[in-house]
Amino acid sequence: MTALEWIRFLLGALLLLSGTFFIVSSVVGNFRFRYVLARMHAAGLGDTLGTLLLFAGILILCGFSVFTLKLLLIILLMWTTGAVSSHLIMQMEINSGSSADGRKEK
Amino acid sequence: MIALFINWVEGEDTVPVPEKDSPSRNPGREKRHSTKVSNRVGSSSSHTKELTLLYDVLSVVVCLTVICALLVTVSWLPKFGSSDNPAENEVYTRYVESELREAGAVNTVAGMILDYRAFDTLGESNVLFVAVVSVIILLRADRKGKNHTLNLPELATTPEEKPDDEILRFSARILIPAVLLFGIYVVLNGHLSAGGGFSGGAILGGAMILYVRAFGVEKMEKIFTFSTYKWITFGALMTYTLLKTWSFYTGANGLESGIPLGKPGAILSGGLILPLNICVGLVVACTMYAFYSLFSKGGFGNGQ
Repeated sequence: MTALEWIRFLLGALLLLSGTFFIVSSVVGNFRFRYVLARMHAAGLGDTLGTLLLFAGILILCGFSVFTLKLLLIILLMWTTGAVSSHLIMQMEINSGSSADGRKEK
Repeated sequence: MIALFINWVEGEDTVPVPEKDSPSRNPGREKRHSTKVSNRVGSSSSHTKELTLLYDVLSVVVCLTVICALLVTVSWLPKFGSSDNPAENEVYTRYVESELREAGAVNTVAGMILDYRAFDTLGESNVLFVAVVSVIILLRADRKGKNHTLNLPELATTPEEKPDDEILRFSARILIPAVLLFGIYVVLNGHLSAGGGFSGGAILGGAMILYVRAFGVEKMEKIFTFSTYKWITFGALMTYTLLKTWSFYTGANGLESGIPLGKPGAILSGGLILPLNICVGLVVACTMYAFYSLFSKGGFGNGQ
């Protein structure tokens, strides 16, 4: 492989690994936090930053094609809908005031 | 080791219990205790400790057993694409060989569900309609917002959704045209590519739910009320029934019915499949919106 290909491979791998890290930490945070807003923060992080990094890694590794254009569309959709849906759930929690947390405190 | 990991992921060891009297509205209050897992287990009685250990071990064992059983089952499945599979019979061959000639749809699945088995699809659409009718009988509130069938006072006192969320409205303004366009594309291209009335109708219904959630019932009422729902569903089901009656009357099964099949691959092809797809899509979209509005408000709006 030429130097340019090595750079592309390393960059893509780095993005993939960091995306995986964010998604794994979002899953762990979802289970470990007890309070709703903290858990929603973790979930929203995985929804937006995790998918962005993962798809950016795939985009760099696969090169430019119709397939990667669709990946760009998916990123756009995730960033529009994922963040807004977390926002709505948090708004609901703040408005209702009741605990939407499945795990009740002892 | 596994039990320790499960406990760590469950977060039982460090996350504090919020006070009962003041529910923790403030995430900053969530300070961490330094209690370790061993302390938690040690403080409980030995009976509970054994039970917890048993539970952890049993859950792991059950999970592993199920995983192994499923893997063994999958390994015994017939090879994919092999010629002596049970799925490889004359029904499949018949559909693949003569669907394009008899029904005229490039998408063989659309030809199957809307031509050979159109009666079955009519039943499915009617099931959706009957489901909405049942929910209306059970949940619909009267003009004063009261529900008489189930005596559900909380339905009447549901706080009115205030569509004042600028974030939601902005993203809905961006998303709804794209979603509607995509849904219409999926419905209209059901006989050419994957998709069809059911999936496209679900997308359209999702767009309608997003619209009413973002902009409020008043705006939705200008274009979609209960009578709109009635007429659209009635018209779609009636059109479906009449078209398929004609098709069955002339013999079905690819016999000549006077309806041109068109050139395969063109948008106006496939005989009755395109109008039937549109009918099914309308019914599904209306059903999804009806379920949302009935379950959230007990009606289609203020004036019903």
